[in-house]
Amino acid sequence: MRKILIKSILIFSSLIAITNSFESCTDPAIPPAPTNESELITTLKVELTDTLTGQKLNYYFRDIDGEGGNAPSQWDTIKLSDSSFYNVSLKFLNESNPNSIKNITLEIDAEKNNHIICFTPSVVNAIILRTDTDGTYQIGIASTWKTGKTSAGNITIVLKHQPGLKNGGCDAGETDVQVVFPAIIN
Amino acid sequence: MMLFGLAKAYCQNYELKGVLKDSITKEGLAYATVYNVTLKKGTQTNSDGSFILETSRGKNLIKIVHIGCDTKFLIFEIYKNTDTIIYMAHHQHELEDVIIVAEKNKLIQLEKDRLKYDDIVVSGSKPIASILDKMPGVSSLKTGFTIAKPMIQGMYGSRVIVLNNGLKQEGQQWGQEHGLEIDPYNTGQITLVKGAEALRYTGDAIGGILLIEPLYNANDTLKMSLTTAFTDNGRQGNISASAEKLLTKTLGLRLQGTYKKAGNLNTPDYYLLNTGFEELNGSLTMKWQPSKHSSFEVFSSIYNNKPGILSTSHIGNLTDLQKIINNETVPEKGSFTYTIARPYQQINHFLNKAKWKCELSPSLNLEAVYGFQINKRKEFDSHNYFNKTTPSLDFSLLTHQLDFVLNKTFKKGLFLKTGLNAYYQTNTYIGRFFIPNYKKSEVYQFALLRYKKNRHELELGYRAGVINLDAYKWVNNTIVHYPFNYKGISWQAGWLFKINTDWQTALQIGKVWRNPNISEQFSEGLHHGAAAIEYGNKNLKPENAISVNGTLKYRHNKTLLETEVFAKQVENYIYLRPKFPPELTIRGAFPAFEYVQTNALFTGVDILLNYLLPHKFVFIEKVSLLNVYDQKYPTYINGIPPYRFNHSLQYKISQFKWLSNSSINLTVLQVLKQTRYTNGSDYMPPPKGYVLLNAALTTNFSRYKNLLVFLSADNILNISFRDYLNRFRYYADETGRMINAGINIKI
Repeated sequence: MRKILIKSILIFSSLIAITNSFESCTDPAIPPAPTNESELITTLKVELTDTLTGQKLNYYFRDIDGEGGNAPSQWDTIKLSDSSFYNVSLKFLNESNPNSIKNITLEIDAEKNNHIICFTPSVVNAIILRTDTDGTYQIGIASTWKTGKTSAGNITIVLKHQPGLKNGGCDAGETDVQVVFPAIIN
Repeated sequence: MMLFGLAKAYCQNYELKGVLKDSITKEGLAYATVYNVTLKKGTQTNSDGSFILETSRGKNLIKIVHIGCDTKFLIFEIYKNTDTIIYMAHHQHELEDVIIVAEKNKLIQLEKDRLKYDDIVVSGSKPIASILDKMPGVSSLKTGFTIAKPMIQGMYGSRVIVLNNGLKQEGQQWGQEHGLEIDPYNTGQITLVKGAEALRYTGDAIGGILLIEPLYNANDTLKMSLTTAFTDNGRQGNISASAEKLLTKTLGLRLQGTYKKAGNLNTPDYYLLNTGFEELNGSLTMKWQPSKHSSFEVFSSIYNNKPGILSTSHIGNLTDLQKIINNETVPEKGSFTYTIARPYQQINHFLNKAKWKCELSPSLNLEAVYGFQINKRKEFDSHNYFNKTTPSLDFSLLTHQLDFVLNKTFKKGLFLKTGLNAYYQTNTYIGRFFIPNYKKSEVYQFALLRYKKNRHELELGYRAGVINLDAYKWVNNTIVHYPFNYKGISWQAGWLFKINTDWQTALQIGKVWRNPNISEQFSEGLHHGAAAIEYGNKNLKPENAISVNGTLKYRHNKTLLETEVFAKQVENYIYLRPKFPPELTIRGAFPAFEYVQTNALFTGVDILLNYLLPHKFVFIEKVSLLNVYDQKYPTYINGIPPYRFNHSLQYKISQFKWLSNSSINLTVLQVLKQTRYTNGSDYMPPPKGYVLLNAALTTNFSRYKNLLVFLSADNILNISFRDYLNRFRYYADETGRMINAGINIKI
């Protein structure tokens, strides 16, 4: 009886030891390394070039800490001249780590078959046309903006991820970016 | 007077007092029908197998029917009141053994709180939490169609503790979208435990404890079992096999494995995109009994699941959600595929248990348990712009558990169980922030006292504990340490009274406390699976609950009735409440939710009624009613299960031509609309109620007793509906008709 008791205790404790050593291979690692938020888009930059004057304008929407947390740190009003013509290029950036800013526009371009950007001016007098294409459908990273009379409203820019769903429209798929910029033409 | 007495003796029928026992385990067989064919009178055995049957003088033909046994005919010659023991050969020893083990330790326990292997094996295609909702008062909280967790009387998450073979299953307590990571095919029995017994395992289970016990019954002959099943909806295939044997006189081994694969499910109108999953599980049980007084057990199991997340739920933002809610966008019809695309999860759960039990004297035994669990969860969001193969979120949860329990039986029906529990847990993550890294240590001491005398049973228990939690979070490039300390006492008292052979009543009262869990304190950010932003609150106070419940049980001839009435007053009740206005992000506005506290009163009734109709039909009614009152604010609390009724008709035939032990079940499940809802407090009001028609058939064969065939159909009428307890109710309908067929072979 005593022998068995001792034997049992021995087996039991050695089993604990085995599983403990197994666990030490996977280090609990507290505290953690800083997070690497690779999939985040923090910034939408709208780069406009006036085709007549060559004047360059940059407008931003920035939310450095991503969804939730702090409110967006920069949310510009797009100011344009009336009766003008702009070449526009969009930049999607991940600026969550200031030491390593990532240009996600390149990824979107690489997967252009699965992405579309849609522009919706509201009240403001602007006509926006996409000028780039994936071969079948337009993309929208490059576009031309034609302004009309003095007006104030907003312009909504939406980036849609449409894996296998792209049909030229904006309904299908998942919204990766949706920013409503206040816009003034004067 | 004398004359009268003589006359009575002359005409009197004698009493045959007996106990029906299993021929192998020698344990009493409950609820068997004992029928005197000669007198055309019958009775049912009690929970200990005992019965009293009227007999006439002379020869009596007695028929005994019990589920899982062959019907037995016996002839008794009776000339006086007689006592007897009858042994029945039983098919499903492995199951019965498990039940008996559970019965020995448990006191205030009613039948409605138990699911047996038969119920489990035929529904093995479903996640285990969806099988549990066969019990009255238990519902399942779903996130989509592949993830489900149990909810008891409106309580869920860390208010319901799941014990997998005696170990607290670590991993499911967090958010709603973490299912129960257990293989149903290795489950022998599931018991719902409330009251003092629960304190042996935990002091924070306001809802209750689900004890999940695996099968094990190795003996000298090699026993093998194979189950395979196919479900048309989702084209799901399952295969599960097990083998067990005593290798030597003292050492037994059981091995088991399961594989499941399913593709896209469909509603009556469309396919649910990306709802397939793939699961591979295995387990090993080893028991070594070197002497009568000492036994040693090792149990290891591994669960691997890759569930797809409904891709239409992975919508962008509030605009998309509003469109879906207003039905402006028709769900994509889609098509069938087994391919699991992003978004999906990858879950691995490894559980390891070592238990040593030693009998120090006939009335005193000692139990030591060591448990070790790894829970890994990888979440792959809809798409990643850079790292295409790495998960967006990768959690690793490690838990050690050590238990020492002393069981002492005193004379005169007094029993004491006392012991210590200790836990150590760490959680680490890689990727997108959702929950910080933390380490947690917990130590508890508990004691339970039971006393049985005549028709009374009393139990009393307490559990005291301390919890130390250290969370670490990066804030502006520095690590911030958040220490938390909690301590508290939970206690329970119970009284059971057997009024007479038919009536039994029980009353339980207790106090339970629960510290806020890490997700309630710290979650912050976008929940991709739920398309919502969630905010924890570091200042949440522990929950304190006082609960009272009364049960009444009646069993007489054809009727079995069990009623439970309960009230739970929860101080600082924590729940996730929609937060307005929605949150603005670069992806547009998102619905936001925050963890808040209030005082809540949960009241309700659970009813189970079995009534034996003529021609062996049984009518079964299960009712679960729950009302929750917010005592601080004039609003209703979200996410409370609506009223639920389960009407079913069962027909059992022990022998019909070449079929044996056949059972046919027709069920109407009726779920009402949750009307206790404050307008505007959710992004979408609760869906309409629904009525589903389900049917199930199981049978053995006279010539092949070891073959069990089962066929079931859920939602036979193929009705489109949504369930309030499914977090994906915003996006899609529930599944349509689902036909499941399968066989179980034992060798």
